Amino acid sequence: MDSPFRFKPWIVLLFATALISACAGTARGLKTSIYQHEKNVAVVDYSLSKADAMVVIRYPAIIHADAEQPYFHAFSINAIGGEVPPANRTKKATTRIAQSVIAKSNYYVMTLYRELQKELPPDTVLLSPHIIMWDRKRGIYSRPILATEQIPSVVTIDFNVYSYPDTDEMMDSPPVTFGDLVTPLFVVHSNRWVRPPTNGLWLSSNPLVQAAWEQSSLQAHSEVERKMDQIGPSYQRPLDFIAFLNTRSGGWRDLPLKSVGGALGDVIAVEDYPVEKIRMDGALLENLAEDWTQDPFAESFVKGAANRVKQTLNSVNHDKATFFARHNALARFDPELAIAFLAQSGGESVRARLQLAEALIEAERKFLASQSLGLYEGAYTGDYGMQMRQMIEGEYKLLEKRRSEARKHNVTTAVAALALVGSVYGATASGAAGTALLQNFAGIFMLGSLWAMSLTFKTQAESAEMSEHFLTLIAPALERQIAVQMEWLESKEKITAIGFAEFRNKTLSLYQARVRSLQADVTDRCVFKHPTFSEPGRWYGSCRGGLASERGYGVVRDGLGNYVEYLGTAQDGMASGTGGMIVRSVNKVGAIYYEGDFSNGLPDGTVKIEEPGRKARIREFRAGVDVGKGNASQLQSLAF
Amino acid sequence: MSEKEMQANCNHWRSDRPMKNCLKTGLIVIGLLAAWPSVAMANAHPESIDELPPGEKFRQLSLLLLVSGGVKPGLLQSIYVADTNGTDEADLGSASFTLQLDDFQTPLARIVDQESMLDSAAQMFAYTRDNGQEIQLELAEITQTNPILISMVDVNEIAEDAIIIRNAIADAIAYSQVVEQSQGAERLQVFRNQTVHLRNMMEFNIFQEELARSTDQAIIDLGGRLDAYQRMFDDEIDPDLVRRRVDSAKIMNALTGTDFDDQARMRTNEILMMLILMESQVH
Repeated sequence: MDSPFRFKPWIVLLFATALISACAGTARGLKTSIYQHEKNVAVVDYSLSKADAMVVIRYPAIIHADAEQPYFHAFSINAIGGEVPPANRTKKATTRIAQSVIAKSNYYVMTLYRELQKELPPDTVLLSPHIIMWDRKRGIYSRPILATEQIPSVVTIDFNVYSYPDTDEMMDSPPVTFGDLVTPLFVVHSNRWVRPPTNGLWLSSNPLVQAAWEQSSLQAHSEVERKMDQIGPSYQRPLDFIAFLNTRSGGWRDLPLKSVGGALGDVIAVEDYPVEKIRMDGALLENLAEDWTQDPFAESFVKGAANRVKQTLNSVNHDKATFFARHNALARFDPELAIAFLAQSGGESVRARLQLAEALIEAERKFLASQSLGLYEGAYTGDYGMQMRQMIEGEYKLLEKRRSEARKHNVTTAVAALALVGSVYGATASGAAGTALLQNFAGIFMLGSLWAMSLTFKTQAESAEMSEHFLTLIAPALERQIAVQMEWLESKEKITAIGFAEFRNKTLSLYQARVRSLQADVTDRCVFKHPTFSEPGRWYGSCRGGLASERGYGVVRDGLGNYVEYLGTAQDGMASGTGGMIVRSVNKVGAIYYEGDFSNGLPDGTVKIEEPGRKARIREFRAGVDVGKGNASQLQSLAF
Repeated sequence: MSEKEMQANCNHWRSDRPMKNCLKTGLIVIGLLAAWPSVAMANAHPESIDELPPGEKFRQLSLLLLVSGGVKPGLLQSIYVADTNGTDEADLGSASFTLQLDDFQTPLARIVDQESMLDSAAQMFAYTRDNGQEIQLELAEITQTNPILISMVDVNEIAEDAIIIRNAIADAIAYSQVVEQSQGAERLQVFRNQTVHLRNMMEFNIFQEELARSTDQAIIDLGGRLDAYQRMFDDEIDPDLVRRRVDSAKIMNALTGTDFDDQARMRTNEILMMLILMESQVH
């Protein structure tokens, strides 16, 4: 029987050879990341809560069939590092590169997971794989496969690798992830209350800053709306990278940014991480498939980035970072307790019930941590990881061959890497994977094809002779392995979801059987006011005569989108006593945060003020008016 | 149930232990309190506790600590003032006594008057106040020399007994002149609150143990399912077979969501799991 694959290796070979012959030069990359010199620190956790995770790592894991074409299109029109000509946007090679971004992110993210998990307490680093979806209303977006993001976390990291979509562009240094070259993109964000001026955004890869900022703003705004109206589910933030692809930048706003390790150290701004094409240590890639005890990506990037994350963890009050996420988690299964929690009601009945509830969340965290470990084992130590390492090693050797040729002929054309990548991806499109298989498994097969191609090139490079039957024999088998691995990931979602639902039902029953009544006089239907807002807001906490009183949380907004959030003590419906207040104005970027003494709804006394693009400072206020420098020793901090 | 309703009432317990255990402990408490003065007076040698086996000694010393835990000097003083036995408050702690388990097994008929109970309580509190450190050292020593035995001690059971005794003491105080003294009612409430805290801690321990069991089991169950599922793809098989196996796994998962009782569900899962595992073998 004629195999559909029989003649294709020749096409692949001819195409690739033509491209490789046409291009020569050296593929460049940074030897070390800008984060490589970050100081290693031990994370100290003084938090009272044991329910929270330290880090949640989100990444693009799989793509829904309906989302493939929109994703490919968005990927090509929102290129990082240049503009892809319209004629090149629909090329097969571009779609293969788009797929490779997902496939390789699945692998490289595990290095970050491993490094953080090694350093942080058990079960506190969780993975949140996302599936890329599409619908008419939202365009492309992503949603988590597991329930990881329902667990309160101190920081959340978005991670993926990137390759420039256009293989034809003759560019000096396009971002690419191929062989020993890796271009990581990542964002670090937390709850808005940790860093109100930036809505909780700590750090972002430069191209994603705008999208990350908008997502953080949207998330903060959505939470305020929910607290105000008590309707709708929590906003599910898509991956910032997918949000970036979905919305072409509408022009940069004047965002508060600061460079990595720059002079603006203490200034409250988003750390602007530049796009880095990192070149991993070749010595560690020579025999990567056999010996991967020392991870080349960890050495060149992840260890430094992990140190940066750990520094962030040490600089944050963990209880503050997870306070509202814990409230949301409690509200899911015990709304009464959630209000008492928000009001920080004292008493043994609240303490005891909270202890039970937090144990429940802690159990969920443990369950999900085991799922994260399963993902890691599957994608890094399992077959998938093995195949990825073989592929990366193959790619590396191919690149090295090109570099060697370029040096030999003293050719300086600087397109080798991209052209080579292009040839591989382009060849793959017409190469190993048959149309029927591609239709069946959508983008899943690309990875296998890519690996097969890299092996093919490796064979050719090393022996100058390629077996005609190589791809025919090897590609389908490899592709099936990759395909079932990815299908396993999809099935893992279903099985895990069922398993998690069962687990949650069981533990919830246990909880409901154990809890006792609350002796907390709190409500979520009380009026909170602010002198500059005409409409009344909502107060969660103690209430006297229908007005906010004692400890609680209040929110008020106007029709324009301005709002005030307050956590602390109140009197006669307004902030009064010690508290923290976030003031957001639609005309200004970010928000302003006041913490300290309040009276009649306004800062009054010694107050710490945090604004975007400025250092935090202690000031003295009289009826909301800044009257001069404040005495830090007199500052009453808000306790969480 | 409100916190204030938390009295010496076995019905308020949310323990899995049978009611007969509760009654048994009730008898122990009454026995302990009833026997306390006479035992204390009759056995003037605290060393007699040394004669008890290590496990029982550990239990009784722990019980003593928990019963007397958190008692403020003011409450002890109040009880002393109300005490009609005439013992000096300073001498209470030096009164020798022993705890004999047999003495606790006293029938309900031996219910004693409130004054005797208060007298006993005062002695217990004072003794623990004066010898707390020694008791803790003794407990540490028992733990060190009998690690296996102590690892088997049910701490929650001791806590349950302590709660009943504390509530009995609190009730005795409530019916005495102590509450009529200045701050007497407040001191009693503090004592009761501490008992509630002890109860909550005990209930949390039970909850957490059960939760940990459920969590570990859920992790194992899910891991097993995923392993079985993945194993289905490890072999060279035809697509129809894969589809059938996927369907089997789906059925298995669907069944776990239905309302079979645990036993039946477990059996069904076992059968289906075996089926999947058998089908997953290399042909």
